[in-house]
Amino acid sequence: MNSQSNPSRMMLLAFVLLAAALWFVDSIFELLWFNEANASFIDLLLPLDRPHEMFMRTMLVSSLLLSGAVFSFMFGRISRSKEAARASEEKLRTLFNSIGDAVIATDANGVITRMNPVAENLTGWSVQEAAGKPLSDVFSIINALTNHPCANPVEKVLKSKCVVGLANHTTLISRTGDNFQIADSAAPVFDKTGGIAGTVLVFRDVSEDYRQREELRKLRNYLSNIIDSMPSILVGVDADGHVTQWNMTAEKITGISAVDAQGKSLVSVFPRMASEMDKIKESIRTRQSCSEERKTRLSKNGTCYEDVTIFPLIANGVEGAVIQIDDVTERCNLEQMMIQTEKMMSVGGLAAGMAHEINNPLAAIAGNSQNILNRIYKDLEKNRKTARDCDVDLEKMREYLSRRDIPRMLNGISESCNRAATIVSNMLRFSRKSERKFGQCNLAELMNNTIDLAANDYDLKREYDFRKIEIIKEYSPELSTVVCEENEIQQVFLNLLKNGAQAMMDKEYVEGSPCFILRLKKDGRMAVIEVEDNGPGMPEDVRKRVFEPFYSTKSVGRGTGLGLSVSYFIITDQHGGFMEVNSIPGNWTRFRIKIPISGQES
Amino acid sequence: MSNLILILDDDVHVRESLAISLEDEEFDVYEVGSSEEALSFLAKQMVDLVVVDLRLPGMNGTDFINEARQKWADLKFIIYTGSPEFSIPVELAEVPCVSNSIFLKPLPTSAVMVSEIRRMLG
Repeated sequence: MNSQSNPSRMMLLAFVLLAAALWFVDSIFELLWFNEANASFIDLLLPLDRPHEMFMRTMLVSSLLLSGAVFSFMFGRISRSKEAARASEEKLRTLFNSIGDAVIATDANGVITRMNPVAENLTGWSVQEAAGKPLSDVFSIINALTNHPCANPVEKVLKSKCVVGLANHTTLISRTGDNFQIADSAAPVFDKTGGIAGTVLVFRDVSEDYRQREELRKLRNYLSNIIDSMPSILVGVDADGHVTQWNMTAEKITGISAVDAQGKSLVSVFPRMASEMDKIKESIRTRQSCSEERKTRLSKNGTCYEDVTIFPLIANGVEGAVIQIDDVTERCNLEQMMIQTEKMMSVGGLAAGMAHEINNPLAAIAGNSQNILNRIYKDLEKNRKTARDCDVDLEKMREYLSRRDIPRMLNGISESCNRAATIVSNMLRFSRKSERKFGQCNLAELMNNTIDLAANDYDLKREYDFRKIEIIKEYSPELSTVVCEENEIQQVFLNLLKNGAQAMMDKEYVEGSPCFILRLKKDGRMAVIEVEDNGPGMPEDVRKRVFEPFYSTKSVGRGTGLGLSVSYFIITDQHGGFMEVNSIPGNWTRFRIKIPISGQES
Repeated sequence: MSNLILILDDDVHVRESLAISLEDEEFDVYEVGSSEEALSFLAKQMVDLVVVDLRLPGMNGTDFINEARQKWADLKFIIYTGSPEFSIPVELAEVPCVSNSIFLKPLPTSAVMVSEIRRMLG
């Protein structure tokens, strides 16, 4: 208070002194020049006897005092308000400077008027340098993701007269080249008339937040990448069976995106899990994981095998479960194939030892049955001579034998003998000893030749006209030549075509007609051959055994039961390939063969 | 004059059946059951061609051919075997007196062997 009132009091005092001085000086003037009566200075100082003089002096002094009072009062007011203004400015500055966020104020043209130390720090500009410069010179920001400059927020505010928030991922580049992640907003400042007086830009260094968020995001990405890169289907459910997690494999298999699956009941997005729901609930209840291996499932590509494992989740008090589903069809098939190869190798070993022992008697049977026929029917001099010697009419004897079906019996012996020989030689194919000649071979040509061969196959012709079968060829031009043993591969093709044709014969076609689809394509370094028929298909138990040696569904005499197992052996063992069969009973059967294009690496 | 053929096979039925079919083709046929017998037979009676089984008791067919062709340069040989894993031994592959076709038992018809014999004997 004192300091505030002092200037005005001092002023008032000055006026009082001035008035006293004036009185005193007037008295001296009176003494020097207007002292006609030679009065003493004391009299002149207080001329009570001269009313006129007294009146004048009093009037002069009091008007002086009066104006002094007025002046000093006004001066007091002004100085007080100045003081108040300074104080308020001081307060504002303190406030401004102690704000934790950076603040920059501009005028209506976007020119900087003030900024606080935090802003100075972040921008690298001092207030003195920055003041009077357009904002964009001092506050340069870019998009953290694209590195493109961002629009000046103050200009936006000036244009829109609204509060503008900055987009995420904004990076401020300071005068020294440092980068700061900032979050900010700019607001207009209105004057009394509602016009824009300037803007205030508030921003904050969120580099640390940003770094943490980024780290969190990376971690989350990393984890979801791990989950997504799993070849297994991974599905999380809560205690009510609603989906909480849905990885990429699940998306791929079901065709439902993670976003769509989220929160839906598992059965609605993954119907084949209906049978698992009880197990899932049980697992959550007992907190025990449970797994089921080799679960069979019939898909449009034939039978699939799946391992289903349910892990209960008890974390953060949230109950639920994770279901992992692995397609182990390939593995199962591979195992089956290995068992198959194993079996065939033992057959092959057995056959090699047996072949000689069996072939000798067969040679005698075949040779002698032919000899008998020769000695009865062949036009040999010896036959005629011996008949004459025995007094037998050769023609009559031939007629007798024919009527008694002897030639047919002999033919039966020969044919049976040939069949036995074929079986032995087929079994021998299982042994690795046989000599193989590998060479470049055009599979498309080979397939076409084999079709012609099948069409002219005597056995097949007796029962079915191969030419009535429609043949659709889907040969990929990508596949040129393949290193293989041409004869053996041809035998495989022929086998498949004959089997397919025979199978289609057994089907009564209500709609459509017998049809082969033959596919040749390339899959990486493997050539893929598919022979698909729309015959009766085969049930699961047949499908599993179809490559077994001596397994045949054909009636006795129609097949040896070795055709497919030989084919299988040729492909898997001699060519280092794969052979598998898929079928939907009643619809189709598809044999798929894969052999390395550049031959088997030994 | 008919050609003389010796059949060397340890299986008597195989031997006989082949002998009969060759006789019916107007060849003169002799039979022996082992390589040793064949060598002593040839020492007494020369033939034009020997049909040789490879798997034999005692000396095997390959060794027999090697020995016999040293002794009788004009002798010709045809291999007739029940063991398909046998191929023509490397040392015999280039020898002109041994037929390049191996005949595998059982032959559905002897005609193929007869024509090969005729070819070799010219």
